[in-house]
Amino acid sequence: MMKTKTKTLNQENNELDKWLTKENNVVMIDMICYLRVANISEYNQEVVRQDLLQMVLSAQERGEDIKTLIGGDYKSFCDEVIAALPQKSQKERVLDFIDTFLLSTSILGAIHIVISKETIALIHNAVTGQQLNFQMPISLGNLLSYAIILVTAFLIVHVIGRNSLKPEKKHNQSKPKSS
Amino acid sequence: MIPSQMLKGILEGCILKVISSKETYGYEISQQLQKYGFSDISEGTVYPLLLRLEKNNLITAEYRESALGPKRKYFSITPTGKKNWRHSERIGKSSIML
Repeated sequence: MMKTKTKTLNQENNELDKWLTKENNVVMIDMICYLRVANISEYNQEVVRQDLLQMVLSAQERGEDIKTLIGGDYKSFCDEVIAALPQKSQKERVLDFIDTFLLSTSILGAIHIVISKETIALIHNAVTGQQLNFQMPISLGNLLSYAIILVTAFLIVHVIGRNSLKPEKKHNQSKPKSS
Repeated sequence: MIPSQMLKGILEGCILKVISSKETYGYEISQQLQKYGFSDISEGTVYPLLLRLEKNNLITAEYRESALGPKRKYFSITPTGKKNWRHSERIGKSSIML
């Protein structure tokens, strides 16, 4: 149920995205990246995304940009937003992990099947009418590379997300310095 | 502007007051607060506070079509919110008297 609601909202937001100006879109992408790796549910991520989109689009109609709307400090703004939302429970975190794990296993599994020697042999035998062998060895090396791919993918996502709103980024530099 | 912890509390009280007098949306709330004298308040300042009030069940939110352009999220006060606001109003009044 929640999954369907999240998906519908995600599609609606993707449509709204198209109305953003180029400058606002750049900031928006960075903020959403930052929210994606925060400890809040996917549904809340989309709710916030919808709110932000509607806010920015209204601001665009008034002739304002995202900087006037939020102030230059997008990271603090996102931290405030994250703090105001319910944090994911341990159970939700485990379920999310299993969800991602199963999805990536099926994708990598499918890729493994498609590119393996055995599949080519199987098709060849099926065409020439020879005996079919449905067995496929999975080596320790296969499992190891699978684990490496998963961990690397996870790290890349988190590094990008965490650093998407670093203060030294271009769109924050024009912020007036106050100390 | 990112308000300090104390200002946040005051702002939350003011936001509750604005919403309790009439159902309204984020931009209008920020305009109203500017009228009250909070000069540097944008919709972006108000938004995290609205989220927090919503999480604590003091207000509810609902998206509605607006006459022009994008949809608007309208906020209205809940019975808990009303009780809470009256409470903070009393505290506010007594602190002014002090």
